[in-house]
Amino acid sequence: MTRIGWKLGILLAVLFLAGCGERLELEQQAFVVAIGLDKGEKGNLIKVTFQISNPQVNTSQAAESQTEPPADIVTITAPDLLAAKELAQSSLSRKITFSHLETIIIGEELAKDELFNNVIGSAIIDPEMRREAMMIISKEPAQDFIHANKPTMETRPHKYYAFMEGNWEHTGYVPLSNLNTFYQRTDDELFLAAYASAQSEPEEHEDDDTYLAGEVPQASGDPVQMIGSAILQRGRMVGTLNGEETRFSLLLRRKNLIESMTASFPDPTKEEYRLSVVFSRTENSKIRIDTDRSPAKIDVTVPLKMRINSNLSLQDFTQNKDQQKKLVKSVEERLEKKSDELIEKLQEEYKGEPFVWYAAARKNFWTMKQFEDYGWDRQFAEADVDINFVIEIESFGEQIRPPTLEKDEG
Amino acid sequence: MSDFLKRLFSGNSAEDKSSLGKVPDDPFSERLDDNVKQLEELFLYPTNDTLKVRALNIPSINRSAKVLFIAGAADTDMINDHIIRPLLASQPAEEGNEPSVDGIKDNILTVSGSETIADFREAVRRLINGNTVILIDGEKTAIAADTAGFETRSVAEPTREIVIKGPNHAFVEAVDVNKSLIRRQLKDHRLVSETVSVGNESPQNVSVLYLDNIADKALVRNVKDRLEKVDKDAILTLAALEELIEERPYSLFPSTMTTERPDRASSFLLEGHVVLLMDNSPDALIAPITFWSLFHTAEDQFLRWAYGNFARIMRLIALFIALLVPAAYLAVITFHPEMIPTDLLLAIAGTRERVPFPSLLELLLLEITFEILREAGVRVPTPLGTTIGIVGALILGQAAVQANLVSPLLVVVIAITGLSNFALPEVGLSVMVRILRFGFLIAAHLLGFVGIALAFAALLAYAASIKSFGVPFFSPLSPHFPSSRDLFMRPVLRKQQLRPQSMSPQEDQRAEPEGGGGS
Amino acid sequence: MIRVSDGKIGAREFFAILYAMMAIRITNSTPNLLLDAGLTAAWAMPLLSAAFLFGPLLLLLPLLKKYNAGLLGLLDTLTGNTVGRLITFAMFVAIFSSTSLNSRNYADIVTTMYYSETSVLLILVVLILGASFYIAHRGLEAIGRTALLVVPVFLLTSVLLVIGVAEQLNILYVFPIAGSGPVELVKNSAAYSAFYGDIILVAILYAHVRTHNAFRKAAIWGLWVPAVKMAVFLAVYVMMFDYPAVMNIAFPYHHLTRMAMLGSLANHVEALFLALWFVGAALHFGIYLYLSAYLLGKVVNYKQFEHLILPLAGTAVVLGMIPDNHLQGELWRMLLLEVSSGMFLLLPVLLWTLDRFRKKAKQ
Repeated sequence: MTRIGWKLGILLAVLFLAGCGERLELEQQAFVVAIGLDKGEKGNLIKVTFQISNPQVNTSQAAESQTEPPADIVTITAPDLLAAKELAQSSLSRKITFSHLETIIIGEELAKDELFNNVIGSAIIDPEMRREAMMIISKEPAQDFIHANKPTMETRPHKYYAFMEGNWEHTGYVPLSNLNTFYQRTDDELFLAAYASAQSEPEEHEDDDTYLAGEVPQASGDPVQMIGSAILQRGRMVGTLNGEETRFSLLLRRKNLIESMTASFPDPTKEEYRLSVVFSRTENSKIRIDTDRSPAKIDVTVPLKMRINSNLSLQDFTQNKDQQKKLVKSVEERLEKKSDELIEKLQEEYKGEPFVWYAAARKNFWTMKQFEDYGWDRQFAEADVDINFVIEIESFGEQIRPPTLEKDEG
Repeated sequence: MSDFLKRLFSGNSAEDKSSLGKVPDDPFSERLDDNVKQLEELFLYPTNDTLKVRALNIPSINRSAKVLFIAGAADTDMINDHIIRPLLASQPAEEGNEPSVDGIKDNILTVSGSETIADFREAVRRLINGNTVILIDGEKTAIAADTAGFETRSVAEPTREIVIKGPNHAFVEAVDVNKSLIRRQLKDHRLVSETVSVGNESPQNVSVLYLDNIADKALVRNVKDRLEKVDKDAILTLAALEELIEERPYSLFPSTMTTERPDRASSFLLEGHVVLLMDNSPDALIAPITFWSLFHTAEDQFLRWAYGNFARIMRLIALFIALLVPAAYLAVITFHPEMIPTDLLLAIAGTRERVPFPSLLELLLLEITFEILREAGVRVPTPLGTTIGIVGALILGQAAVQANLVSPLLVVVIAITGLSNFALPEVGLSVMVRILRFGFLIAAHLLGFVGIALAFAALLAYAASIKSFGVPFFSPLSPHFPSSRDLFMRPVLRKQQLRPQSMSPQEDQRAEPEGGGGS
Repeated sequence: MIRVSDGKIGAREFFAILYAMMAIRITNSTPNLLLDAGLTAAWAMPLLSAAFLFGPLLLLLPLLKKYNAGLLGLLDTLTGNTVGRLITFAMFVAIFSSTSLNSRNYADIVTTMYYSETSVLLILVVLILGASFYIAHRGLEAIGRTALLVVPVFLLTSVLLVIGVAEQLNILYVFPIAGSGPVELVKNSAAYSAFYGDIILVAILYAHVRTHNAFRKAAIWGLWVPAVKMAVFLAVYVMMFDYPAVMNIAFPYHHLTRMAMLGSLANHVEALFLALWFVGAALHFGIYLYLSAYLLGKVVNYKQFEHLILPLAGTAVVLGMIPDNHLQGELWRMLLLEVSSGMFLLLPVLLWTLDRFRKKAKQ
């Protein structure tokens, strides 16, 4: 016992003398919940906006402080993120920590700049940065975006972003884009990042999902809209996809990322009306790529389940087999046409694909070197792509037939 | 006075290495008065009024005699009815046909057990054991009649190891009663009860119980050797003995345990453990023990398989909570804030803003208060018990938070920890966990989860390396030995056929169904 | 007296020791070496390496049985005292240098990934001189039992971790199936087979294992289970981070734990894995310190080798502080691996040949 005793004593003494710089009380830390990155005015400087949650607002009754704002927003101009973090300390009393950072907002201007790849590439070196953080590209400078974003329901900003992210899984308007997937696709492949805007320029479209952020006809409420995606190639933003194109690019992937989504179509029986259906995908898409022939041939089969939940034309689809067939066929054709258009656009404008098809193509090769020599992205630009949607009607909603059917028939 | 007697109490086969050794083993003389005087001196009469002497004349032999006994040790009613009355009522015998001492013993006395004795040492030994000694004038031998009648408590209900379903006997302070309680459970002729006497000045008998056909002979010898090596003037209770025979008196880990349930003791016997009983101790000492003995309760086996295992899962969770939660809390909020959901994090940070102490101090403050509360709760007289509850709940819970002494979440943490600690069945385990908790707190304060991990690794290595009477603490799990796997979970009774091989039982399979709970 | 206290360890404890020695390699920078060499097919390399060592192991087992002595006894009988001692010393150098190099690696992981403001020295001291020294100091029996207690937990949490990230995996990322090409794979697997060289080295403990059968069973399981675990994790790394991004990640295991989600609520559980991992690390180095002391004790003929553990632990810390950063240590580590791979592959063959030779000479 005494033998072990003195050893333990020495050990404890060493520990106490050495100490540990890591220990920090919660109240001494400033928890950044979102950062915004913008291009600085001079040279290679960037503007970093920190949105810091105020723990005294809306957290617990004991700590409530009515008059303070829910978040503190600080913008610092510095050469990189880490330097900005340190420099912000000149005005902030608490130590800035990224441990609860879930959202990174990047201004479009910076995203399109050469500098962006270096900025974001070096950001991940900081171990506090988490690879699952969301990446959002905003149309206006990120600083303005963060300032403009004041949701009424979620006073605390982290809640807003967390709920928004949950929302995307159901709408598919926006791709789920985190840093991990971004670093996977920094080469010729296209990476889709969520696109958002706080500036409203409403337009009215026939199709319900062909908007880009800021264009959705919305009156009152929070000015921030998130729809569509920014295309990044080689770590730089090169273009945008609207909501519909984003949905297609998610649908054409092997693995499903959208739990369900609602879309509207012209009714095949009565062209003037539109029909809203809910799609859900339970199986993976089948992707067959033939790399032996030139140009390469890509066959994609997307199985979808469809529920008809709104029926403006009040046609009776439930009883009439022919009508159903007609509907399925028209939806399939429409989807195929739209996706063909999208692929054509990608092949011509960007010469890359955001569908992770390169992973399926890798299957055809024996070694990595052979695949790299093959040059997938070059091949994709010329490939023949054949897309098939296979649609099953799962349900027709809670009415057996439309309510005014009898009147309509006479 | 009865204390004094109990201390003198000594068993039938005690060796003469004790204070009795100082009593001269002179034979009785023929003169009655000399004998009585000598005994009175030995018992320090008249300073000490323990020794009672009743003089009488025995009609059958027409000689005077004296009946000696120790107040408190002997049953006076029994002496009246079965010794004095028969002696006085004996018919005067014809001349030359007078009964001998043996004749009196066999034909006149109506007590069940009596013997003739011939020397003072034996007389003293008999007297302090509650026997009555009858000295007859002109005889060199005396009669010792078994009239032992110590005051005992009747068999009571267990207070520490309470079960909802199952037998509710508890051991009492009388060793004979305890033995009979065990024999009632375990009707096996191979149940051996050996007696070893411990204590130099005031010897006490310790009964060593084991099943001859199961318990490892080496283990029994080991236990007896340790008992014989005990070198103390007096050992009053099993609890003191526990410390004297164990290997690591400084260790936090117990190497023996006590149970107050005869069924539990019996089930330990059936697995090849040794059970020690001692007069004046209302419990049985079990050796060796493993972690499982501390972790299990009797009730696990009484309840249905699913219920019993559910209770065990809860207990396991409680064990980890009691051991690690305050340390984990400290590590999380000072080292790893990313682990807490953002909402909770902000809530804690918000409330902590007004608390003047660092988290460690805050935690220690409340933890120590809770320990004091618990200690006070044990000592406080029962009528005041509710006061403690009010003081604890109101003053500490409410007021400390309102006074910004501690943050509200911390109260929850400490409350869960305390509650979990109460769920641990064995007092040794429970206290051990309470002490270790502070160790983990320090480790967490120094290095967060890394500190906790290293402390835990060292603790585990220590616990795995210790042995209780040669049996490793975590056996038969680690080192692995065939057993019925009655470890974290218990199998159904039908499958509990194999005794834990870590106990080296002589018979591997259980021949008879198990008596009750236990390990 | 009591059967369990004979100072020997059983098959399960021995297996647990082997697991703790080898499987934890997947959490340090070993995957980076393998991924560099095997690209998307890195997962096949642990299996190939294990297969390479399986042959020598099978050669060694009958020898151990025949002479009923540990590896050191075999060396003594077959190669003579001087040569045997030299080989023993070589083994000591291999194992001890890997102890100090790896311990530095672990301390670097902690300071890089979790505690950026803590000094490497402090972590090294508490890990090696604190917990690992203490575990080694409790003796082989205690090491075996501790390992047996924690190894099932490690196996379970590994499975949990894979389940926790399963949703984010893309199985297609492991293609092309041959990665850097079959020749490269086989060549590098042979060079890195020292990752499992421990399996040959632990034959020095042969006399402390209860039966030959227990040793054989534990050795075979102890070789393949860690190999399979490493293979699974390497595949998971590639499926998670994709090639080529996975090559740039310094400590993929720790990034993986950061990405793991246990249910929807607990999504930042890396600190729990950190704690478990560090328990494993303490045990790992405890075993290495014990073996180092055991070997050194044999080399210098010092019977009470337990006394060597403390000085060795101190030396390991001092040696561990020599490299400026972990990448510098990595080069030395690669060299060490290649040299010791050769040694562990050839040693059983050498012993087997000598044994044949002796038999012939007798005839």
